[in-house]
Amino acid sequence: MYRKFTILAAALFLLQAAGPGVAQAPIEEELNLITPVAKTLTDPTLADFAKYAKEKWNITVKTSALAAGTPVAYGQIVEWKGRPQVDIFWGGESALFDKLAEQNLLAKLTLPKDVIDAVPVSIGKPMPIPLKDPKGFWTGTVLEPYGLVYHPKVLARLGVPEPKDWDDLLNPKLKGHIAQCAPTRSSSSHATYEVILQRDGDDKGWEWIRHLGGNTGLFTARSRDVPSVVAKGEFAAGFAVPSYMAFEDRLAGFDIKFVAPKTAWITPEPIAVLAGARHPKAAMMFIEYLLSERGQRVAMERGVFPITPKYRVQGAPGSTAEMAVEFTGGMRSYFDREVTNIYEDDKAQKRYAEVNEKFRKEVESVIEDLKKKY
Amino acid sequence: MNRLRLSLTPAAFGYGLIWTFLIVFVLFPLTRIFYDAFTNEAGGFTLANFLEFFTDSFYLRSFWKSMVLGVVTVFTTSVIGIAVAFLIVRYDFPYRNLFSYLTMLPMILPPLVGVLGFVFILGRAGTLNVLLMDWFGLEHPVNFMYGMQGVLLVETVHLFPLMTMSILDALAKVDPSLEEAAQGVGAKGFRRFRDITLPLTTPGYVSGALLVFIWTFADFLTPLVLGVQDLLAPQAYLNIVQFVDRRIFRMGIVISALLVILAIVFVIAARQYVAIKDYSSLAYSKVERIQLGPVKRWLAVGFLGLLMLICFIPQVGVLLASVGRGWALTPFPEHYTLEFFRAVSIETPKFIINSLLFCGLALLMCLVIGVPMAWVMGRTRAPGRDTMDALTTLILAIPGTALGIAYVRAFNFPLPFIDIPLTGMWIILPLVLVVRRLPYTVRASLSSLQLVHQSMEEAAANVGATRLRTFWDITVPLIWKGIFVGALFSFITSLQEASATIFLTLGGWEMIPFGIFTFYIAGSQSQAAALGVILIVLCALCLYAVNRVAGTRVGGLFG
Amino acid sequence: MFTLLGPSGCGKTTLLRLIAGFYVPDEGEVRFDDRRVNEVPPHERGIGMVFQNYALWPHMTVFDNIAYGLKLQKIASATIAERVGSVLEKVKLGSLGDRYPGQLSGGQQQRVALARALVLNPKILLLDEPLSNLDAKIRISVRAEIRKLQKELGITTVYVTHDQEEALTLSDRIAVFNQGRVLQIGPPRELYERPQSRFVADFIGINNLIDGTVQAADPARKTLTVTTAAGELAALWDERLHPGDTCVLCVRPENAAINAPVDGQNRIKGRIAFAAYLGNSLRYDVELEHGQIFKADIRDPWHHEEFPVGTAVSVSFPASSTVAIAGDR
Repeated sequence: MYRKFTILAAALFLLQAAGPGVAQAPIEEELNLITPVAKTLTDPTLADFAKYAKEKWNITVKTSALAAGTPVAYGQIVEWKGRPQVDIFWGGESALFDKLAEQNLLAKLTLPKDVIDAVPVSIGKPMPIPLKDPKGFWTGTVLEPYGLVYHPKVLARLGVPEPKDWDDLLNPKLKGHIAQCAPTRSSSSHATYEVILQRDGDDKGWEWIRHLGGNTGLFTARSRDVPSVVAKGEFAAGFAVPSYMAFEDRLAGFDIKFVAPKTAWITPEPIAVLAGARHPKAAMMFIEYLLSERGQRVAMERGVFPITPKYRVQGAPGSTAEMAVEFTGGMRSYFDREVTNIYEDDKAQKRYAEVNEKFRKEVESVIEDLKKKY
Repeated sequence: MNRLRLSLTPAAFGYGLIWTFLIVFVLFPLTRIFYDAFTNEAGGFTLANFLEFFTDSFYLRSFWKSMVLGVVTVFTTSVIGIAVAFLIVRYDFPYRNLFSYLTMLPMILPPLVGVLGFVFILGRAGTLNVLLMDWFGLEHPVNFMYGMQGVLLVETVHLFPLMTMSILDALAKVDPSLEEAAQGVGAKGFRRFRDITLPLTTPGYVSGALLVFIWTFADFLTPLVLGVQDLLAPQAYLNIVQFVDRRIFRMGIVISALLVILAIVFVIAARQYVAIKDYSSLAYSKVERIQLGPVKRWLAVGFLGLLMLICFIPQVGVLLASVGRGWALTPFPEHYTLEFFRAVSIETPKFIINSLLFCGLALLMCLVIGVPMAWVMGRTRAPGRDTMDALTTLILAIPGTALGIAYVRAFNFPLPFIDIPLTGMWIILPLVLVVRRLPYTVRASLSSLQLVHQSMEEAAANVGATRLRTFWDITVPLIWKGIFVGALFSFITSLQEASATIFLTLGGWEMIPFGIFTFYIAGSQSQAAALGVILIVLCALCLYAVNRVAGTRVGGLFG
Repeated sequence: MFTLLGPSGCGKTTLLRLIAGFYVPDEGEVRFDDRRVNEVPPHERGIGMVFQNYALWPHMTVFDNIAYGLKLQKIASATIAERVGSVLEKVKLGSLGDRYPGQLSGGQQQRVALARALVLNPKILLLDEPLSNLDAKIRISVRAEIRKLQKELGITTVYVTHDQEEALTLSDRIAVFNQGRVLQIGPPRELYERPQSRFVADFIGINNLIDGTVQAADPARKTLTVTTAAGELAALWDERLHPGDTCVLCVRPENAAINAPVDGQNRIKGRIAFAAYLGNSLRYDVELEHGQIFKADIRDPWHHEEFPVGTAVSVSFPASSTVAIAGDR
């Protein structure tokens, strides 16, 4: 039996290798991503890239995206040990990309100079958020804030005003009506906890986190579940949600709203080509496409912001781009305004496990006590 | 004197191949996770991982909560399962045949779909709560679902048919004369039921209970959706899917290994318990059904009807969600659309295609491997036969999560010549499906083989048929129903498999359950629901075929 | 026709299966004529077998059941039809070829099984308790048919049964089995009239066994004198028995008479303990003075006035039907 499969596998492999003129073609006929970015953003960009490739080189690229949370994707890439089964890692925290680069698991980007130069080095004050890797292993692709979501109808029924800032979630009337994902499971949640900790300092910060724990009705398994349960009206408000995830639920017809507090962390959704990727040319072309106006426009339709000041979210009245602008409070580009960032990534990365461990001990393990206390 | 002896023939070679398959695809990966669980990062032997588990209050709480959940689920499914089984097997009442089919249906609740369906109807913003709030001015929604009570509800509804089928099978094998003998000495009604009938169904019951327990024990998706993370299976899953912290990752593997160890312990315990008493009476006996009186008759219908009403909550919820757009805070969706079905079938047909392809392949392999296995167990004295028998029971008990993880760990090395690891080839999905679902084919084939007297085969040998020819011309036609039922069961359960495949699926290989999972985690619950509806319909059709061929007697599958 | 007779579990079926080739002997040899067949697979042994449960394949018609072996030999279908037709005629099932086994009566199924075994023209026919699943009445007629057919075909047949009456009526020779051992082989009459061991005597239906010691042997008059608890009795002479040997005397109930006026026979006193009316005979249980029960038949109950229980009687039987068996056998 086993031997049969080996033969089968070998045959399959030969079939693949025998593809016509692989070596000469400008890009390979296949492209695979591993990504924590929801498929609502990856699917349209990949589909449009395939169209683009067809138009430009008359090559049919078979694309696929392996959905995996940031930590999972990271772990998977490490597990692959330089023999990755996908070509690109897209999304998550830039610090993880740096870690991968240190382990020689990323390939250096070979993008045209004008393309990479269009991406600013950083954004935000007092702590600048890097938008590309000075060593050239990764670059940001789009900008998106981690904010709050809420369901206006449910809030109205509870008699709670619409939240503007993180602290509005501590409203006693919201007790049991908040959904969040543990920082151990979600990088957006982790980053936002760091925002709180760095804003309030450790003691007050942890008190705040415990208080939010007491108000929480549901710890979801993944960050993407947070806007889902709020959109459905199961819970009134959600903590630390990437803007585009919430926007997808809005697009799906749900009555959900998003707000990015002033101190909300903004992620550039980094992207990198994996060392040893089987389709390196297609991978590089995809990144180039993503940074082009065409790619940026496709992304903007889904509720994220351009990575470069060259473009702004703009569409015909009634278009999804305009809906996105309205959904995120009228903003068209992060480069139009002062961006406040108090989150210090180095600090966060150094105590990454420590914060998770403390969360497990002081919130997760004693959640019933917290619910009684607050 | 020997019964058929396997000599160095093609048969022995085939037998060797089967063992090779079992060793490579069952034993080897399992040893790999045990290796992981008992070593540290440096690769040295250590018990520290387990020590850490048993000294961590959170893990300990997870452990006990898992146990309690398992036991309570066994209890609830027993009560319902036994009641249903007895009604169906012993009594006649209106719509009896319909109910006997319907009561099997809850079993085909794909992972996630069941719990999502329940949430749509019984969630905090589900139909029931919305109605309560709209009509009765209820201020805070009633929390039916989020928490242990929700997990228990979902598992009970999902798993009681397993119990029913196990008991049905056992009941059908109880010789009515034993009960009549009891009546002869004055045991009547409930007394007779408790003292004679129920104990006689013990083997069926124990295997059913074992399966329910382990299933509940190993299910991580349901608790996760309902926000219950302090159970073993969700902990294993959550720890493993975060690869960043190697220590937590290893704890996930430790928990998986623990799940396997516990499953082995339970299987051995159950086997010991059943083996104490010899219940062997293989022939199915014809049972006279008792016509219920007018009141009792409608009570039975009422009970089953109500049960079905609860059982079909998830299906109704999922169906509504699959055609409703932006459904929130209203009892029923306000906008209806077929766009989600179009999206998951016509626009991206890969889920359905992959499912049918991989599960079809798995089905074929189940037949090629499982039927000969059953034959070896039932008809020969080949060495290793008993081990093989125990192994099939064990496979049934191994949590899919653990198996998936074992595969990831064990098959991640590049194979010679082709330089691609097995985990990088799609064939790993049908392979893991075969391993997971093989026992159904083996069990069903074996139990129908045992009903065929060996002289049927000897008679063929006598007139000149070779072993193989006999098997093909005589044995197979006589047991094809059993094989068919078992294989179809393997197929249905493969279609629904997610726990092992979630860890192994790469882009392009997505099957329906994985699609449901990714749509769900991408927040597209309606697409997830649409895929769920498609899967349910597919499985219901298969189950209907099973029902037509075999009635409800498919319990022998789970021994 | 050779019959293996013995109680259930005595090993007769095992022997049959060894002959058929379903079991392989751990030691010893199975020979057909002079050919050792230990390693010969069942289908190459030229054997036709009829199973206790007939083992008719329920998914095939009667015709297909019988034709299966021929088809395996790749015989032309016209020839098959012809041979199956003729064997069906032989077992008087000419018109039932297209039925399924489930549609036949037990007797018919039995004959199909026989036809299936015969169609390949086997050198040996093996019958494993072929009548045990039939009603008592049909059994007798099928029994006669089998015997007739076997004689007609002249085929060596090994027949397994636990029914001594069946064995006696059917067989040319009988082997009596117990606990895996053959105790005696011989034609029915020899077995019946000259059992050589206590077990054979008992199994073949001799109900009165009396222990004793040989007192005197008289080869000239062909008699033995035996001392028993019931007194001194005369028995048929046996060259293997000498004065002083322990022995068992066997007396059939039908050879014993009650209160018979005849002289020169063995005669024992006792009391009637029980009487059972069997229709063609009346069987008395007579309690002898030393406590043993002795069975004696009245062969014509019509003309016999039944003795009440307790009546003192004498039982008599001729020495010529009293067989002595060595005590250790």
